[in-house]
Amino acid sequence: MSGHVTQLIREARHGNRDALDQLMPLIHDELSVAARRHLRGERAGHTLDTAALVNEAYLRLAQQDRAAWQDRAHFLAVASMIMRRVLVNHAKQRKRLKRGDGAKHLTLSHADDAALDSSDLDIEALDDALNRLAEVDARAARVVECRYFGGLKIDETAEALNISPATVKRQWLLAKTWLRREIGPST
Amino acid sequence: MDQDCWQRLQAALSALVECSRADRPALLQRLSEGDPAFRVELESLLGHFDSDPEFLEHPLPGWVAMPQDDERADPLVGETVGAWIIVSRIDRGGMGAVYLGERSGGDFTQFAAIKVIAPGMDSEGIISRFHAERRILAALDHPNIASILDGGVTVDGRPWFAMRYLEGALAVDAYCDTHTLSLNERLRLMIPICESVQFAHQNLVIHRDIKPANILVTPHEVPVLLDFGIAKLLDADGELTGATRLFTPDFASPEQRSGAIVTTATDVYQLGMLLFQLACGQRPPIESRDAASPSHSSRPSECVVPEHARLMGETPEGLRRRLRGDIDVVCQQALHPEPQRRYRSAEALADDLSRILEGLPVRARPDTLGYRMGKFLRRNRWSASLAAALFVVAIGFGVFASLAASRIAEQSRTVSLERDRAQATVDFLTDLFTLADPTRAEREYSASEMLDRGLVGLRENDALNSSERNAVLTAVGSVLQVRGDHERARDVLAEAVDISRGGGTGPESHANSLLELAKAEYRLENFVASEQLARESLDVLDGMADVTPDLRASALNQIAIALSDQGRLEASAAMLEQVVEVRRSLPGAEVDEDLAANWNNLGLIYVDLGRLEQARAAYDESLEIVDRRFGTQHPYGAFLLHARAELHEKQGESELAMADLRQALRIAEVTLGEEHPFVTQARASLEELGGRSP
Repeated sequence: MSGHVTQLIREARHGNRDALDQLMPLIHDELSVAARRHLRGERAGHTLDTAALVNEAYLRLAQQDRAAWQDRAHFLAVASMIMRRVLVNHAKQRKRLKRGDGAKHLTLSHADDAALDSSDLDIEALDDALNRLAEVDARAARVVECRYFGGLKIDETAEALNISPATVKRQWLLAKTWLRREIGPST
Repeated sequence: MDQDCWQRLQAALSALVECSRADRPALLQRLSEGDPAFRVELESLLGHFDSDPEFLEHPLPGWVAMPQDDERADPLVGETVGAWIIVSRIDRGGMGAVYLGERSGGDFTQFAAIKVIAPGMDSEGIISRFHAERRILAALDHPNIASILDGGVTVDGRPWFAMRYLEGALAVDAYCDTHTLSLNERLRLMIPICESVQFAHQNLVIHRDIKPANILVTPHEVPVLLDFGIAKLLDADGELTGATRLFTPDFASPEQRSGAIVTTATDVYQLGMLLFQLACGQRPPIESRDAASPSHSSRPSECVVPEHARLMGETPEGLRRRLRGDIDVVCQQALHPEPQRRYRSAEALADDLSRILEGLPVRARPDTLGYRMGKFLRRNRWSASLAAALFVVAIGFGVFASLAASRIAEQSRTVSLERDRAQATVDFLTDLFTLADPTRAEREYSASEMLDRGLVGLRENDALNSSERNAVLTAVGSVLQVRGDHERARDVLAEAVDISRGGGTGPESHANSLLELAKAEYRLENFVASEQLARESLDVLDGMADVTPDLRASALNQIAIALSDQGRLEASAAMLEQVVEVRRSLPGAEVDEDLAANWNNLGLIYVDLGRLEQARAAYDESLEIVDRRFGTQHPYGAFLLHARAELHEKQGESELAMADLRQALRIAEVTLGEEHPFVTQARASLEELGGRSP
């Protein structure tokens, strides 16, 4: 991974929002490339696995850097943050578009609109609740980011956040239950 | 809510969700004893969990493949077959196409993958065979098999079958690569696949077309076999030939290609092909497949695709090394050209894969001698070339699982101060190793099953306090390491460290858990992580007033070997010098085999640093201890003499080198036997040296 990106990832991970802003387009591009590649090779109509995309985008960025394990963990965490932003922005834009205002500019070129529509979940409400959760326990919010938005498995989340899988499991269970209560019954 | 409360809730909710419903009220009561507000909060959360346990469990898909234009033109999309409405086309191949079908009743919607056979095939025959075999196929009710739900004929007369639809699933090869699964994870994934084939065989169904495209893996990493029985329905008597023959040529067994009878051994062959491909990145070269016997090129280690190795987090050479031996042998046995010489069943193949994962010798036997000894050596980490063997690992881990309990008792004695803590560990492990279940008396538990049960028991057992849990987890982690399952060892030890980091134990136990985790990381070749953990352990020990010197030496030694594997030889040597200082001052130093190992390791590093005089002194020290401890006729002595001979030779003293080599050979012939690779190696060294000197 080029030194610049690695540096940005490190800073983003420590909460530097500027670094995250700079990374956004970079990583988003990589994710899009990965998605397009899948679109060519995959069966049409299949939902793409976010975690697979994130992994592939990482591989592209890391190229064959042998000592990239630590960076991979950082990357997974940051990519999950970015997926959250992308999806939340996307949901907001779609809402504006439906109301008829706002520019016609979608963040996701191949967004799964159908899945967003059919999902009972209000992504914006989840995002807000997640911000409230971060005030109670910041790490729990990060776990949700990785698991839900990044599509990471328990052990990948553990690696990304540098905590044990057992801790991830416990955090995840309480965090998602807490969020369920915050958001209220699905409509 | 504050952090503490959040932490408490975490533990409590996990416990409640995991315990049985019947036990919940009592547990709830206990967890919230004297804290009614906490109880209200817990009950509320539990209610929300129960109302929607799957909440957020399915990650939001970020992207979806858009239907391609020609698919929209497919006339079947939007049509009805049987009770199903065709929603979209998923895939199209030579034999037909696969669609996403939807069926709705009053208040349910069900999805299925609908396979519609291409026009031009023997529709009537297919349908009548389907009706004849329907019951058998429906009986294939197994979590790893997408059984046929339904079937019929389309309006234009084409047969169709409906199977379970797997959302977000990927073909097994693509899954392994996109998730960058390691070799062990791939082997682990193969086991349920083999088991589902075994299950089908027991129900008299042969697949006949096992290949990556027919095995999907769900986002929860569950492999599912598709198309069971379809090949047979399409071709009841194997009468189709040439272009219409219904197997995938690249995966066909020799008997399929020659038109001979197809049996369960055909499926075993195709499982072997799959294993081969997942392990090294490609299928065996065509020319090796029809040879009368397994050939050189039918070994996955000879076919490693470099890019593939990198996906698995290995260097090509590293992957080759790991495949060489067991996995080569297993593939050759599964892919044997003669059906009767393959594994007798898919289960036997699964069994050998489990044995590899457990670090046990496989049952498949190659045509070479000395196999078991080789395996023994590997488990002990004496490297095959021996000159570079790191003594220390051999001694720490040169025990078999059956001895593990006593070793752990000993370890607990060294480490723990409270008697009950050691006792809890020993009791637990005794339970584990003498575990007998009268209802399943007819079969033995494998050691890994016992460990699994032990871990489950540990999670259910509330009677243990955090210090005892830490002790047991650390002990189990050590056993797992002895068994070679370093990935699970790491998980278990990480859990132990989680507890001790949180202050659940005394500092010495914390240091010990950290050190064990450092060893596991070392085995997984995460040398930097290993070094950091060992340093953390050392910091804890150095902060203590009264520390077991032996444990401190172990921590220093772990840092040293992790450094040497990172190529930081100077730092490693300095660290080992400290270890030696500590151990020399302990009682019994003159017969301390750990100290012998430290000297040996130090000698090896001095050689690499070109500090030859110091190296010789280090070897001499090590040899003296080994002679005192084990007598002069012991393999360790032979290994050391061999190392010292190399050193003499470097210093231009061939006479001394020859003398050492001869002595090493004499000892090894007696203690290791003629067939041992070390003996071969020592002979070769001797010849080479003898040929060079005048």
